[in-house]
Amino acid sequence: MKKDLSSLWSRKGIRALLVLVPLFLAVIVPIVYFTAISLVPIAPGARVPEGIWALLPEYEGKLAYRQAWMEAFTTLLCPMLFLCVPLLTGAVSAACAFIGEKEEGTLETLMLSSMNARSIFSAKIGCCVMLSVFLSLMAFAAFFLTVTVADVLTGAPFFLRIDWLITLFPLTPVMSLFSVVFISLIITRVHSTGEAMQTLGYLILPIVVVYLVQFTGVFRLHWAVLLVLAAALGAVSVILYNISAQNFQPEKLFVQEAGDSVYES
Amino acid sequence: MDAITAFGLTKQYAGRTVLQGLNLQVQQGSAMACAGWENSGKTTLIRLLSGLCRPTAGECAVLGMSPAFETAKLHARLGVVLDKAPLYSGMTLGENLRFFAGIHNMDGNDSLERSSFLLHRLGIWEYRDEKAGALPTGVARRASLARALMHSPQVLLMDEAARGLDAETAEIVQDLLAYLVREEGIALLLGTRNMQYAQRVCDSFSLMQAGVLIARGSLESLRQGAGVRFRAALRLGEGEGTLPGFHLEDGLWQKEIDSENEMPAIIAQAVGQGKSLYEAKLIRPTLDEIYRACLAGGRRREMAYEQGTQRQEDKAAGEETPADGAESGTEQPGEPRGEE
Repeated sequence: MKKDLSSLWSRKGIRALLVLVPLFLAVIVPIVYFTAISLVPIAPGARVPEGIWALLPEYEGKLAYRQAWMEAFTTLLCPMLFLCVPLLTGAVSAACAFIGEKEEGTLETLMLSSMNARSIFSAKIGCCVMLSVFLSLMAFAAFFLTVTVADVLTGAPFFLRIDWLITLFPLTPVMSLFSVVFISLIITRVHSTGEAMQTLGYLILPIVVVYLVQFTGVFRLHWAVLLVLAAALGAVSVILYNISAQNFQPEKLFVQEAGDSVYES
Repeated sequence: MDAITAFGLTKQYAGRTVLQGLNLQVQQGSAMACAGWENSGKTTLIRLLSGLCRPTAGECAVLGMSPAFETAKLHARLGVVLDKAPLYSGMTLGENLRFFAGIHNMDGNDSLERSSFLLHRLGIWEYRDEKAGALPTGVARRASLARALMHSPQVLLMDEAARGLDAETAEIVQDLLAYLVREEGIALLLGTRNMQYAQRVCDSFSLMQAGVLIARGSLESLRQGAGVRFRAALRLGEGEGTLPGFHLEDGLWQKEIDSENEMPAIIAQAVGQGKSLYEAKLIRPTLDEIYRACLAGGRRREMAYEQGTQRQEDKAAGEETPADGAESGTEQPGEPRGEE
């Protein structure tokens, strides 16, 4: 596990990705948004769209224009934006730990040691999930500071409520586990880290859809729904984990590619 | 005691048979080479024995354990050097060795002592603090060997041991392997296409072709089985004329003989004929020559079989059975087998 962590962290490209993506989503985007709503001139009589108010009924008529947009941002948009952090960091770290090692050939060397395949698999999953959760928590800490300052400056209500707490736990670790397990599942099918990262699209797409429908005022995910989602995703992750662990055998990992020359010599 | 055993070992891959009905025994404290050209099934054999893939049919055991089902337990006592199994490029050579020692539950002192011994013996001590990814090919190959030997395995499987090594480093590796077999009593199975290297390192051989074991045994038994003869070579003074029964090749008068015991008589005969004899030597056939002879013998038998079958078909079906159909997995030591 220690080796995987140092191996991930020692690669400049991966390190940059693991630091910059959370930084962008958790700090840069809120700052840009806050700056935009603070500087954009407000036309007399300007109102927040009815659809947004419909999703924030508890604040209707109580918030000024800028405060309402800040509230909409932190409640409707940011949770989905933040969930991209565990998803992306989990997938990137898993792509390196599993497919990167397979690509370099060191996974086979590792398989020749006295650790059994299941232990290697569990250690890698554990390492990637831990790294992803750690980075997500760091990102949240940065997000918390940024948005709290913005809330204070705009006079908007404090953002950290039950739906955010559920997003933090259990949704964030479950999302990390899901993305890591998902990438480990495709190890026998993809040939490079880049190819593995392309599959991120399948993971990000549902979040983007939810983000769009929330921010355009179609619906808002209630905290109870978030809780059910977390439980469902957790159950799916456990099932995928077991399937992936069964596939994590030298025979399946290294013999899948038809015409592989090593089996011919 | 048999360190490695295989019976009827067969591996099919994507509908193609890459190893067929292989029988093998390697004793503890001995070195055997699985030698053969490209696509002969050497790598597949090593992967089967190391538990990286499972046989389609037949069975094998290493130190009495099944590679497919007791993999982790076996790996604690088995060292494997694959043709392509690199170390972690981001870690130094020393860190790599300590990492793998840690996986094998070696304590710090043992790990340091063993890595120091291996790195010195392999002549790569000065590279210990260099990143594995930056090591030259020959050093990386020796580093892989050091990694496989860190936990003092009882059996060592090596695939293409001499690839990427120059003559000097190949000799260093050869010396270490000889030491390990002699002093540590390990069983060595070397998969290689380099016949010369196999001959230098090992004392018994399994010759393979297209996934089939075509002959096995010591060099001498293989020579006898393949019908390859010794050659007596004499160098005479200039203008000494000819020697009856000899032919001139590379400046030496050569003649095929059945036994080295014929040499004194040949020398006496040359001297008796009044020739000035400057040099006399016995040329022993190399493993490469024996391998080629085995292949040629197999092809001849195949052709004879096919011709015989064709004739039989032309006359009347089922009158006679072919005389030389080799049975899979029943080869005798030193006895070349036809390709099946």
